[in-house]
Amino acid sequence: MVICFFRIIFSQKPTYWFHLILYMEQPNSLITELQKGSEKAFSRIYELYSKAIFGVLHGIVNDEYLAEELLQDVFVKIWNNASSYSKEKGRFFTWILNIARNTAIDALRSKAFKNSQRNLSTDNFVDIIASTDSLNRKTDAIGIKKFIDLLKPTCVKIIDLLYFKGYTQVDAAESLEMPLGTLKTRNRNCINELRKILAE
Amino acid sequence: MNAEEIIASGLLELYVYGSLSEEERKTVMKAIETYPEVQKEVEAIEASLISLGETVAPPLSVRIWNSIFKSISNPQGTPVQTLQKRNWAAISGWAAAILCVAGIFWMLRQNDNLQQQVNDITTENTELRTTMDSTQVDLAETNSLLELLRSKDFNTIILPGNDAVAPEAYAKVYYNAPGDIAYIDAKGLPEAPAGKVYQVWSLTLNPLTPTSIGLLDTATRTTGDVYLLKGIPVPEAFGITLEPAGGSETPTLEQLYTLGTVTP
Repeated sequence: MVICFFRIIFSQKPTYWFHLILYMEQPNSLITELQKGSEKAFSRIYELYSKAIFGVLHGIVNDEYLAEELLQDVFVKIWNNASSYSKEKGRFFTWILNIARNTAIDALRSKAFKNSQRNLSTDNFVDIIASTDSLNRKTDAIGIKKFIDLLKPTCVKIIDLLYFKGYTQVDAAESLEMPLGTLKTRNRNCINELRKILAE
Repeated sequence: MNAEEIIASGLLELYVYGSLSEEERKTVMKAIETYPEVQKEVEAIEASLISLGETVAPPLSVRIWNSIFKSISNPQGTPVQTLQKRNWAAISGWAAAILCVAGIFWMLRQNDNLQQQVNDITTENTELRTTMDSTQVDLAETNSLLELLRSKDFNTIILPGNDAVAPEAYAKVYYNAPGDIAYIDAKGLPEAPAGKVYQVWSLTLNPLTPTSIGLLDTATRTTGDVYLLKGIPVPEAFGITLEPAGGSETPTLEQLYTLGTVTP
């Protein structure tokens, strides 16, 4: 535990523990402030979710510059449509996640990308990390290698389709050629595995 | 389903992904409300997914936030409305400021004008007071002269004009024998030409002896054309001649303007 807290304080990369503490409660008061138009609340929301959403966008479009552009679009949409979110619809993070996926998919379907023959990336998030091994990334290399080594290939595929690509359960089951029930169970086991890796 | 069953079902993970059907979503939400441990499980799943997203994200530049913040602080969708609102405030503000400045200038001008008027009137007042003062002095002198002349001590002698020189001219002498003084009223004399002066003589007739008693231009002038002369020898007549400047020892009879005898 002590080591974990040191990591929270001294590492640039937030850890699972950090998020667990941070998101124990959904930041409901922040969301209410955001819906009233508070720029301060919006700035906090950005701090909380931008990096994760950036990761998801990058996992979908496999292009760092496009992902940056889309991240801006996503957060402008969050600001403009904040009032349409309500707790009855589900988690705030899920709401943002949907905006991000839709924005990314719309961008890939747009004319400019059709012309350049781009489409929804067939690579999963681990492939993408491996293929875009830039210099900037060296610092994160250890953390990422952990996923590649520890997360089972099946898990990478399942999480990629359901979390990053936003497939429905049915579509994901079909794509992975496994029964729906098996998909649910495996996905749960994979997330548990992820949690274990993150908590280590 | 109880809490354990819900957790084990794998629905919570799909709930956070957002890939549940409407019915399943309602079931999960009900379970979250009912069981705190389900709520906790959902939060743990969400935290792990956020961490995963962050781990696989490329480095995020600050410039992205700056750009987002710029576009939300400056929304392009509603420029007309904000412009109108701003204009109202700006217009009324500027109008008030301009009115205020104009008002101040108007009042300053008004004040200047009034000050100028006060100055003018003060000057005028001073002038009038000076005039009044001198008029009063004149009046006092005239009155005192009149008092003197009306007193019984003064004898009035009329000097008619000399037909040969100035038939129209005349002069009056108010003579006070005990006081040895005389006032000469030269109103009836023409203006002395340049370089010439009127000289007043007292005469004894038998024998004819003229004695100068003074020049009008050096005599004490009282009021009007009345001159005061002193030190008069007992006269039998008064005469006025025109003499060169500075006067003469003896009268120039060719220039005798007026002459009158003293009636005893």
